[in-house]
Amino acid sequence: MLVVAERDQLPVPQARAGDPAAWDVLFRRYQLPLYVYVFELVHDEQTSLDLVQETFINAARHIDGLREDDKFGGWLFGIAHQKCIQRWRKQTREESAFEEVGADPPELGAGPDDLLIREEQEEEFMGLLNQLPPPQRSVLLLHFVEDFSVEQIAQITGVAPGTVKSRLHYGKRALRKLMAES
Amino acid sequence: MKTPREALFERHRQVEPRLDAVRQKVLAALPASGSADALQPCRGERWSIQTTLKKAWFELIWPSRRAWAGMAALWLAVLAVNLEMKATSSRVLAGGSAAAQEIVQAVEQQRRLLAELLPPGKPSAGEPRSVEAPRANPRPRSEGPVPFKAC
Repeated sequence: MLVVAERDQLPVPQARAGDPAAWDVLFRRYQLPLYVYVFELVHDEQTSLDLVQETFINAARHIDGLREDDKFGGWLFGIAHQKCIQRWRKQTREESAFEEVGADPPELGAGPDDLLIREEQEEEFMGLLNQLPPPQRSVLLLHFVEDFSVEQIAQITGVAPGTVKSRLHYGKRALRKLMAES
Repeated sequence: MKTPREALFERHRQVEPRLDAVRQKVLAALPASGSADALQPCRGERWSIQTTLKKAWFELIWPSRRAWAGMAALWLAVLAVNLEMKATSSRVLAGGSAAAQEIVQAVEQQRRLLAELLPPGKPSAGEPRSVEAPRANPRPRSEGPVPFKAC
């Protein structure tokens, strides 16, 4: 709920008008969530910082393309996601990383907080998260970090909502299973 | 107990000073007033060529790279077959022209031989002849030799 409240107060119209103070507020609000998302996908600090910077620059350059101000967060993460995909393509040149997980979209759990981690499980959780294939990891991170809706995640990642549901379901199930085993 | 969000954020808190530096850098590139167009000219040159090519590569070529590679292979095969056919036909043509030259030489030789053998008054083999050759001794049929009849 805190996330939603913060999102409502974002000075997007002022930023569109070119107010640096408004950009400062927006960048402050999203710099860490964006970095977390990008880092957990690319696993390199400098690359992640570069990608966050490129995302900010692109956002400032193309803010006129944003139609609904309340979707600024999803739009910004969409830019970062595209940057990550470009980086993956450069590095791996493998299509297998983007394979689908399942066909049927099952019902989801309550929210990102339905999966709670004990302090002693933290490292293990991160390790398990990184074991997941990038499409599942990406969807789970967007869900955990910003609590985006299925539709927003679908827009950010450019896949169908059913695929997002499927990836969330299987990702969470895989994490729970791995954590239960440990 | 922590939520995944809390755990993830705590894990990366130490990078915040560097993120602040990144933010300051981007903000410094923004103009004091007006829109963020000032970010455009600093990369303007590259935007038109490099970025467009990169974008075209990733959006047009890369997604269907297998199809493009297949098409390229097909065209190369067609080109190879075409070149091979051209080479073969030129070889055949070269061989054929040599044979034709030999025939022409033989005909010339025969003509020369014929010209040597025939008397000088007679038209040579090369000259055009009338369709019906003139008779050696023309006379009426009644004056002709009596045909021998066997009983």
